[in-house]
Amino acid sequence: MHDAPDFDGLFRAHGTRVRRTCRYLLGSSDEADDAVQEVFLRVRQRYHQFDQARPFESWIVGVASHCCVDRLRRRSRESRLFGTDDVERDSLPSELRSPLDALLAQERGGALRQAVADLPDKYRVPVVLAYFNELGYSEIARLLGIERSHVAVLLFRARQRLRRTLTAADRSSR
Amino acid sequence: MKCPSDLTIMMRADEELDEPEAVRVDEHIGGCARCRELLFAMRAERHVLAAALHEAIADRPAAAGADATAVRRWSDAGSLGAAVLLVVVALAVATLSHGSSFPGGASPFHPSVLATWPFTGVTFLLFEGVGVVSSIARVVGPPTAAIGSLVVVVTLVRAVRRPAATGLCLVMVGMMSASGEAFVVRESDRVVVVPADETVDDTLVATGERIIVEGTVVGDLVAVAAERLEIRGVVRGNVLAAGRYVDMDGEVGGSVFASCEAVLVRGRVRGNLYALARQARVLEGGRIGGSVASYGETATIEGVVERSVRAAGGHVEIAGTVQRDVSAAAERVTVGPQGSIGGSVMARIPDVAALRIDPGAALTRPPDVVRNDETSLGRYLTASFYVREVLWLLAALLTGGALFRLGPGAADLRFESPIAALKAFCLGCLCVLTIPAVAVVGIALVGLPVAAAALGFLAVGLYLAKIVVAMSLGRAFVGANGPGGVPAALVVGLATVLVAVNLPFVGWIINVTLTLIGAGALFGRILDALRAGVRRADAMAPDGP
Repeated sequence: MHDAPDFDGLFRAHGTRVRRTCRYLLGSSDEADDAVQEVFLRVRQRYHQFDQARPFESWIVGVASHCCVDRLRRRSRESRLFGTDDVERDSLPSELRSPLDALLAQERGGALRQAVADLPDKYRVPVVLAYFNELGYSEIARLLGIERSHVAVLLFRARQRLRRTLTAADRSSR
Repeated sequence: MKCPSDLTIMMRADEELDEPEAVRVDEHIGGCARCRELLFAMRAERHVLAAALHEAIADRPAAAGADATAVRRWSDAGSLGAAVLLVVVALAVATLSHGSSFPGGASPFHPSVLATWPFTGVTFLLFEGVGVVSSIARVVGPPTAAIGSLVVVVTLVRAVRRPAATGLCLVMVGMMSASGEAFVVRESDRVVVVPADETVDDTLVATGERIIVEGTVVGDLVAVAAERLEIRGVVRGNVLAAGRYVDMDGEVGGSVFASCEAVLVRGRVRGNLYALARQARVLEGGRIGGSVASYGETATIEGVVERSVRAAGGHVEIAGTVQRDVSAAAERVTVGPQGSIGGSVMARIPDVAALRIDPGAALTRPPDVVRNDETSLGRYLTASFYVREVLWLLAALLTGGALFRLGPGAADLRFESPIAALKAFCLGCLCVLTIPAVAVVGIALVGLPVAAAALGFLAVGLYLAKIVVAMSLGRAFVGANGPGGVPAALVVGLATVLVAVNLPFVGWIINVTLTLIGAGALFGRILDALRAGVRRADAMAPDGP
């Protein structure tokens, strides 16, 4: 049996993280505000499911992720939002050989975040889940209802797109 | 194993490969610089991505970011430039301050001193190496020496754990055991003699203070003599000699390769004479069936050379017969009264007075004199110069393209600071000096194929060196990710190198410096790849560079 938690305190403590997760996943600040409210509501309703042995933050971020993915599904008219174009995973070449050059050289978090925000949903969501929420491929696959190998392909393509965007931005700023 | 896909490497960077595949990829990455770099880059990218999303990376103004990129790009070109400049200045200072005051041949840059380095290295290793080790053992005491040996053995065992190294060792052992029966070895502290009535039916490998061949050697003769090698009998094959004096009174069926203080030919050599010696001399009565190539302080032809003479060094003297061309780059070129030259004479000398031709000498055509200071400017007016350079550029483009397709690791060589470029330069010097010496020792210990492979390896390295440097420069100027990608970077880099090495007066120093830097960087990369096996565990640590 759980003790009655101090929800206001928890939301204060984790509000920023939850809001950022929603903003990244949904790619929109306005929609993120609504999503945050929904997340806090779900947390209250499902708090009994929370395993106290695990950190609260990862649970609440998980709830936020589910909530946002549901919203994206509702928003998208495509049935297979995160489907991939049946590409053999080993046949994907890296278009830019040196991700370091393009990405590290930027050292501009804002530009990188903007590039992530500009990604289509199906690429942005796995990137945020993997590198912001730090979920493993399997967890992402479960969450999005796709194969684990598809997660890898989506991440790979997302990173390719990011490199391309940032290299182009880098060149135009020179 | 062929390189894993980039996707697989990304999954490895994300720690998302299952155990057997991760192990396979790690094994591959231990020996593949390109994949290793990609893995590190992917990891770094992941960290940057995570940091940016967590807003741990401060925003910089766009202009500053672009500046940082430009600075990073230019650092390679700047580092190389600084290193080359430093070497050029050091050489210029050394030449100006000491070059003229050194008594003949004492300057460390004098060709005759450079020529005897391989000899010095080989004889030192062979005759003093064991002594040095035992002296160290005496000084530090047997227990320390034993611990030291243990460390060496453990290091070696760790190094050979890698399959490639193990394979290489097996091949070496195989070659040693196979070639062990292919030649006769004679060693002595003092004198090794093949008496007049003896015929050695095989290749003879001899080491000693003095080596005297009075009988017949049917195969090749490989001789390292601390003091003197005397051939009074017959060697039907080639002679590879390192020693203080090489004295050939008898007959050699093949060619003679000599790295020594002095090589004297009184007898007959049916092939060519290659002399890296302070003094190379074909005495009266001596006869070379092929050509003479000499690099040292003096080259003197008093006997007969049936083909051409090519000599570089201090003094080249023709007092005998050369049936074809003579080409000499020296401080002084003399053709004596008995001198007879059947072909052309090309003398590259400091000034016209440095060429002395006795009125009694027999020349078929007037000598062609090129003054050293004219060389660098006059050649720009000839069409052949441009044809040659364009051909070099095309060949280098093809080679470079193939190199960077087959081993992309070479395309990523960076010179991030002048120190890094200088380190590469020093490693390049070390390779150029030691590989020939090692090859000569290798002939004695392992066999000719290995020595030839070592020299071939060096030659390939030297050829590729400038291409690698050009690639690095090209990346600095246009970026490998720029329009045109690697080919464009290669073209720009090669064009830059081509112009730099053809600059008047300093071009040749830049050429040598860039070659040594490139060779050093290449060999460094190879050493890294070998070491990577040992450090694989560290390389796989989650917080790679």
